[in-house]
Amino acid sequence: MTQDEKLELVNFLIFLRGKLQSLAIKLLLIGEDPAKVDQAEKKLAKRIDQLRVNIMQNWQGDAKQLMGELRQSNQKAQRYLRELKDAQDRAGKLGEILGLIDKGLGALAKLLPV
Amino acid sequence: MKNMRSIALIFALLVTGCVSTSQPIPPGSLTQFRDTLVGLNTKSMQALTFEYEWNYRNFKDRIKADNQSDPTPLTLRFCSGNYDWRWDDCDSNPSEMPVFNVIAQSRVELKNINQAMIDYAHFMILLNSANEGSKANLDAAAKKVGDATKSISTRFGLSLDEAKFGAFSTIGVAVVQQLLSKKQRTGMAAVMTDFQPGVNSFADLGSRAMAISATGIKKEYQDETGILARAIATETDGAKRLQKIEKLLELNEQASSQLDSLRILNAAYDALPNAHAELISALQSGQYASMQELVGYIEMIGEIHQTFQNADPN
Repeated sequence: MTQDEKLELVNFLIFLRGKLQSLAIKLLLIGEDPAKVDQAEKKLAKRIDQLRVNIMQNWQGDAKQLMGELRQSNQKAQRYLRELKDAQDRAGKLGEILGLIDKGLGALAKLLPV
Repeated sequence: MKNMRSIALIFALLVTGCVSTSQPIPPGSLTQFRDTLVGLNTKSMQALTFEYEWNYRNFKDRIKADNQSDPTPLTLRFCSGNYDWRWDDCDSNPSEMPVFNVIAQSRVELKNINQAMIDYAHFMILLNSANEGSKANLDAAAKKVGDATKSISTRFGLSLDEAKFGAFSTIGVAVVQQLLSKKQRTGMAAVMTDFQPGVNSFADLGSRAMAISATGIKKEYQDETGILARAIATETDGAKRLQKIEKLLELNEQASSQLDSLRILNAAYDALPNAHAELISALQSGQYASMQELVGYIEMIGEIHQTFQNADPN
């Protein structure tokens, strides 16, 4: 049973429970004993709680799995920041390289005056 | 002169591989995305607290009504971990656990994944503005490029007008900035693509948490109002009856407003994958805009290269 189906089922059981609660009160008002309806309603309430706990525990399992996946994605993301930092270093290097070319040309200019 | 051509060619190659110098995604979009996540975190925690409080209140009422003499079921158990606790035997069937105990755990999990997504949004803001943060370094590097170019030109006795020199220095600034910008944009696109399935799962989990909580509030409401409705039906004293009716109306208001909040939060979680997709399209449309900018730079380089050729003393 999928999580959505479980949710749909628990909503339906809640709807049924509301019907049983109304029925018990109507029986009371006409002087009938609602004990059997009360008993059924209590059983239903217990089932609803069990299903709620089950759905939440499944949800917690899915949440743990997602946390693991997000951690992996985050590690990859950090790599891109490091690459960006490398690119910044490269930009600085570009200026240095051009400075060296300048020096080289300067030396060449001394040997071969234009 | 060959050196000058080589330098111009290096510039052209660097620029053709690069994109816009502006932040890849409009910064406001990312902060809006982050603020939505922060708001969802706070409000979804409050939402699960509603359900927790309903269940805990009803649980305590049942304990009091049972009036049991054995205190052992009333003490907390610390079964594992530094902070774990449960109001039940450690080896009892988990499905028999008090619901508020499970809600407490779900709250922790939801907070963790909410926080992970907020961290992701912070990271994207950082990556998006990385060029701005490092602008001083860029300017220094660009100045070196410009000065070196000017110095080389002078040594070759080239007489370029100041406007052209200015343009060439600007290209130097643009080249280093765009070199980073390309890395930044490529990185952002890769990070966002990596996170897209995570955003989808997060939205699904968040919206499901709200739906689960809504069933809890309805069930707890029934627990509390079932007893109250019966008391109203059997109460003979008019004043006491009115008091109980007022209490019922109060619970109605409480449950309905909480369900409305959960519905809004559910819709906000559902909308997140689209919001994330919009950020990706902002990134893509930025690429399109920068293509025009790029064409402009290439034309400018071509023009300056032509000027150098024309000024070649050989």
